[in-house]
Amino acid sequence: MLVCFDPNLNIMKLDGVMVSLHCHHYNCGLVKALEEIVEINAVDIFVRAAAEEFYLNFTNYLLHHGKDKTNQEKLEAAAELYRFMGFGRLDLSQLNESGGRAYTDSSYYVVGWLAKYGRRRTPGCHLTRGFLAGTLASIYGGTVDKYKVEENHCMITGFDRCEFAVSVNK
Amino acid sequence: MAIDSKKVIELASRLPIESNERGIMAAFGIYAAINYNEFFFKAVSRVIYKVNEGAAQAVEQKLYDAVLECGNHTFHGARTSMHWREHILPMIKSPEDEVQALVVRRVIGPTD
Repeated sequence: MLVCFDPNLNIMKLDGVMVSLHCHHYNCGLVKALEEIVEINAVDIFVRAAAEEFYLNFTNYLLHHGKDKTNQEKLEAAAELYRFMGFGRLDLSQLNESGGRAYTDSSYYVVGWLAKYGRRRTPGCHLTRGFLAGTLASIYGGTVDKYKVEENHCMITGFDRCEFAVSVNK
Repeated sequence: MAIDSKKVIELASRLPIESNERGIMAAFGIYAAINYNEFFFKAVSRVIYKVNEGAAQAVEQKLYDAVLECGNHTFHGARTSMHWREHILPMIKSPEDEVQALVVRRVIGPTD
């Protein structure tokens, strides 16, 4: 993974794709604003947007760097991307094409939310759900909505680690 | 003004802002994360498009407030850092200089 900054254009790119470096005040504020909308399920839109972007960009990454990689190595590359971007530490070793369980013992949204708002009673790692859905569809093939990802347990509610249940959409 | 914008950008671009082994990127008193610009555009624009005008304005106000909080915390963290005192503060001769240095540094620091 390579981050480049162009001081003349004031833009930053990760592996050639325009990115931003946002702080937890903004990222968690965005999640909170979306969660508070009652008219629609804005969190689902947030998860879907994340899935699309990670699907697109990880597919592109694998085209250039994943030709000789096994699926397990691709999962490890996905976890490394997640870590590199600052979202935390993912264990994807128990996933396969049919889904399974993924775990984090370090989460950006947990750390950021705790720092800004304190503990909460519901899971909050929505971006990770989109990340998993997008990167798994990229690795195993299929459309971006191939996988359904739910967060069963979240550290922000008091668990030792976050647990994500991944299944193939019927 | 006494601020050398190119020098500020060059100094800031060399800051070791990167995630640790636990995937956490802490700098200037905030937690930062890299994400695709298109993700933010998609998430926010789709939500704004789907809700009524009143709800859209409420969301926009909350996002505006989030940006203000970010700016306040990030700028405070930057201007009280050792890096700032060592490299930037010597250039600052007036409040206007400090504002300019913060804006220049913001170009590559956490943006919101």
